[in-house]
Amino acid sequence: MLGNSAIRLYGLIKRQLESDRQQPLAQLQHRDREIGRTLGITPGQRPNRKVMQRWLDAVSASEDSDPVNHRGLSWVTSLVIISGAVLGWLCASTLLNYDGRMPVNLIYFLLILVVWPGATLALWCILILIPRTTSESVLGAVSPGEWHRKLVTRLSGGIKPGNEFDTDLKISMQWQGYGLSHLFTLCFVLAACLYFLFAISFSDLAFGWNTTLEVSNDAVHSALSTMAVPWRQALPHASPTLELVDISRFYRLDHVLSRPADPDLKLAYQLGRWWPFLFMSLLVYSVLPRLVALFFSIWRTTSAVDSALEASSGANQIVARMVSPVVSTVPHETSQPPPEKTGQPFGLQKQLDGDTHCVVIEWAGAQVTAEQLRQIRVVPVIKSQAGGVHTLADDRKLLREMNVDTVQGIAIVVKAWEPPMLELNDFVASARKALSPRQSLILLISPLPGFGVRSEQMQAWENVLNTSGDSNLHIIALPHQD
Amino acid sequence: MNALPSNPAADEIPTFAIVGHPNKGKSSLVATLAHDSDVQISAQSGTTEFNQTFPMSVDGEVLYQLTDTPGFQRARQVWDWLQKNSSSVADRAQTVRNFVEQHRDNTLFTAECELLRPLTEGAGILYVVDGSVPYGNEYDAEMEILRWTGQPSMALINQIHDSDFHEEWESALSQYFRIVRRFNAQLADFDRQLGLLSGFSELNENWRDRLLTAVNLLRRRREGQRTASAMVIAELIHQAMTCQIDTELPDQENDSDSVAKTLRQELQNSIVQMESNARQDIERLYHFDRLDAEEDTLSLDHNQLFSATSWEMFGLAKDQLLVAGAVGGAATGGIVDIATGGGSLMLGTGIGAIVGGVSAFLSEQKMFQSTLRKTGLGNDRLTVGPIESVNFPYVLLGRALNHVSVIEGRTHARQDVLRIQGEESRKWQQLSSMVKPLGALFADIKKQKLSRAESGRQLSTLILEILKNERSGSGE
Repeated sequence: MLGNSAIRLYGLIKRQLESDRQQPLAQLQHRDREIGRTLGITPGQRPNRKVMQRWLDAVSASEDSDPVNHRGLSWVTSLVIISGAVLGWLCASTLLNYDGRMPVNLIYFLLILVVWPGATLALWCILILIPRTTSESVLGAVSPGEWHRKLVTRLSGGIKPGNEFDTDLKISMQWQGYGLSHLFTLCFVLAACLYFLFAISFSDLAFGWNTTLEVSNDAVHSALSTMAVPWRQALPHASPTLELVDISRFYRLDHVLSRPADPDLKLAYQLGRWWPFLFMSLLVYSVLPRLVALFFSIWRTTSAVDSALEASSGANQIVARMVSPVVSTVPHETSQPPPEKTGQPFGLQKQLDGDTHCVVIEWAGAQVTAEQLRQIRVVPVIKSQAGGVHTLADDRKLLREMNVDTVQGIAIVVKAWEPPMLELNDFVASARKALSPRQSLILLISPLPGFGVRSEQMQAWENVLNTSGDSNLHIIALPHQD
Repeated sequence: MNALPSNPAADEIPTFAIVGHPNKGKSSLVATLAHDSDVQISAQSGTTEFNQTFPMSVDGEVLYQLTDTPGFQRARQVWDWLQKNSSSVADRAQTVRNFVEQHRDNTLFTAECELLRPLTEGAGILYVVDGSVPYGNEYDAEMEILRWTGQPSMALINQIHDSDFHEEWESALSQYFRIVRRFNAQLADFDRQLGLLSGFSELNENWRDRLLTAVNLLRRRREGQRTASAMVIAELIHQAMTCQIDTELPDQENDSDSVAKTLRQELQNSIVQMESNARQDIERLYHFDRLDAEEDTLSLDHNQLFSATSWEMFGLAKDQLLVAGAVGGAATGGIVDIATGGGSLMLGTGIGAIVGGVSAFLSEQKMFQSTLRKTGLGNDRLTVGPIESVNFPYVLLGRALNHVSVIEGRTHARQDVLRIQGEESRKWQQLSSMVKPLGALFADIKKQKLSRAESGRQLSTLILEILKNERSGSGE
């Protein structure tokens, strides 16, 4: 009632969207696509309440808690209905109290049950028609919508329209507040109507009017006839005649001075003929406008929620996911990251202390110049090639036939830009076997012409070679060459 | 040369094994084509130890799949074995299969068996090399092995660093591969990615339909992502433009200025948070779930909002601010003209434009709207916001467009921090042609003339148009 379910739906969707932010997108795509296919949602569908409610039902079948204190709102609504009805009944019973001496004052009746509700309705119309900022400053303090917004803010745990971000929700709650005020008045006048029907059915009422002012009966008749315009054609008996106005006018000393007790029962009968007019006045000027205003408020409450949903990129994305095929490009299982390497040097990098006589082997097309070797104090005794286009047999033959007795070690030149591969590891291991433990095995890292060897390249070689446990294995970066 | 007898299932679903030397960007290529940042990419050699398959599926139906493989480690040894165990050209493919069968449990050839396995099952070959380093003859062995499999193949020259050796690579690769393409896995934009995917169909005619379907679906998905992004931006702008902070002044509080100052800061923080949330939403739309980003924070400082840089970003001159404001005013004035059936001799529009322009200028003098409401029934209330600056929505829009543009241009292979700084900001020349509709729309949003849904619809349509124009303007 009063758009409670719409506001509650909005709150639940907002909460679900927040929760979805923590989920991987792929998971949401599969979930919503499945729901979309089950519900038969087709492309072009807008995120209206019906669709979003069905989606929500499918997503959260077991809802644990409500972001809006729904019970609190229902309680407020019930309180408004009961209090309006009780007050209306009491008010009508007071106004229609007739002890057989003084007639019921139909002016009081009209003022309290027709004019006052009409006046508050007119005030409300002004409130919603004039610009919002002005209404807030002039009428905001007495606006039931504003009161209600504050009340709901206190009752709500999950959605807080008071934080000013959800404009549509704030508007929705204001309209819900207006709706509550209309509901109160409607219950008030309906209860008064019921009491009125009850009173005229089970008691004998006489209506009259009076005034201290000098007002002619014609003027009063004219005013009341104008009031009866909406139903006069259909219900001529519900429109007061001049005669009825005239005979209904009574004075404080009426029965003493001008009109002695009338033995003619016709007059008493005439005084009861006001009831159709009064009933129609209640119905047309109090009940119907309030009913219209109530439905209007409910419509505005729900349409504000509709607007909020339609404008919500989150809700639109949900519908888009429901109607779009799930295009997945990710594996079902995510690869595990490799174990972290420390990034610390293992101590394989070194500079030679003095001239070191070595067999120099250029691996897989890597090249070294005499000048580069001189700078790092490697004296090439023999220079050979291995790897690359050479066969494995060539490599084995090279190591087998190489005379390493007269040298201090083997220097293998490798390309800095190529990653260390197991094939080279095999060759390094074979070279080590050809040497005595005291002899050095040196990897010379050759940079691209025009570049130097980058630290991460050196690190990559260290990472691969440090597992050998060879204390005479070293890595040296060759100097930059033009 | 006989092709390997293909597995019927693999024949139905195009499968591409991405093979090559270690550390040449195989995983980067997979990450880019699969739009998956979770693919393990490392500068360390041998990060990929086992095959990982990335199926591209639509509602569960696989259209094609990419298999990331470990790099060759002992290619010469394998090549040696193949040569020794092949008796004729006709049995080469079978010899490769025999190698895999016989060395399945041999730890020496774990990498080779793993990478050759999908090829023996019918996968196409995508051979990846690094075009920023020179070709070396140590690659010959692995290219020979791949040729022996008899599978359809394509070579991709991936440019990892700045140095360029692609010409020597092209001449070497063309000896072994019928199709050789250059593709930068780190920087390739979306259209190039789709172009490469379409190119895969050249490997096998039977794969064409599925691959073209995949390309079309990926294109539609990108359009959907862009539409959703436009909606997120429209929602952000509407929220930020209408955001207010309201508080009840305490009884003892006489100095409303200090409260207003606090509220202004709170409002600014809220808007910054809104922008941050919107950016996260957009990143998620493009499958960047855990993006490490370094972004300059939005400042509502008057100087920044009105700085020349901010305006240049949109291709606007400062005086166009007045035009933007005037458009909003003219739109209002136009209503008068329409209401009078033109009887006002268009004075409504003219006056509206002048009023709008002057308002735009004046509003820059007062960044935040502050309203003190004397309720009479309780404590007074102070409301701060919305932001008055006419420039504000343009700045917000420009920042959001920059962000989307950077995200759209970023591949999932990139591991670096996303940086969106002023100097990276693009000039949105198209925005200058959109000043009129944007100005009118911003004015309507500010005055809350339109429902949020309606303004969201209109604004997201304009944003989408700007994004599309920008792409076509940049030749993508």
